[in-house]
Amino acid sequence: MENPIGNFFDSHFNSPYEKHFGNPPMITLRYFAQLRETLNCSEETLQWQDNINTVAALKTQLSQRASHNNSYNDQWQKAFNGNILCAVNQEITQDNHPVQDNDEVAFFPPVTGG
Amino acid sequence: MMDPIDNQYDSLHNHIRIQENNFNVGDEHNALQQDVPSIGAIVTFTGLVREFTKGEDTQLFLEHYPAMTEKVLNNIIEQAEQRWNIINTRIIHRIGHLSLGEQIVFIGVNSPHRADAFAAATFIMDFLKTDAPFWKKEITPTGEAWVEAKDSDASAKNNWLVNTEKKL
Repeated sequence: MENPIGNFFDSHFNSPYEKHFGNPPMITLRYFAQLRETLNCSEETLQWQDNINTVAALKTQLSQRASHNNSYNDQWQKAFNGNILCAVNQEITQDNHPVQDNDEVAFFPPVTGG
Repeated sequence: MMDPIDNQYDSLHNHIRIQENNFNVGDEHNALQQDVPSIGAIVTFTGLVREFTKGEDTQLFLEHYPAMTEKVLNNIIEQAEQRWNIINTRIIHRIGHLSLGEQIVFIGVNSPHRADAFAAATFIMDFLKTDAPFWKKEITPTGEAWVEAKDSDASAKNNWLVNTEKKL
């Protein structure tokens, strides 16, 4: 007969929820070029919640933010109302794309390399 | 002092480098000439920093999104390999501060035949312009501004897509 304690540990620590044990789901946000400068932020982590489960929902939440020093101004609103692109896990996506735990979501203006 | 940021992605036939330092076009051309006895053509393109406003000293600052740059450039090379008979591709893109006249970007392709090498090099450059996550800031004595994306770059890419549909 298998050891029930062993089974408990195996099933618990191999489950897909293991990473949530004591840690809330998180996403990483990255900003580039003039967006990085306007928002004065290149990278941040954010707790994932149901209300940011798509790119569109995340943009809405971010656009309603106050600036980092808590004195309200509309830099986040302006930034997210502009012509910006979004990549989820380094792939360009549309607004209806899902956002999940552990995703890296990047916002940036149209590219100008070469 | 920090080391220059230098990302290099190599596969069997292809070489991608993102770096602050300059590059030597002769070395890249030599690399495209080695080890492949079947090649009959090498096409290379080198992009330079030019003046944006006539008579004004222009400097550029370039940044990129490293993990995405690798994915996008590899994907562009794959698409070119599906369209043409090309053997080796080398892409170099510089980042950081660059002065007027400096080299920014290099595309090198070899192939058994020149038509494939010319077309693939143009295709790779057109797609790099619209898809690869690089951003340029122009710095002149009168101020600085992020460069706006150009419609002409988007239409250069779209021409390739339209031409594909016609073939199908």
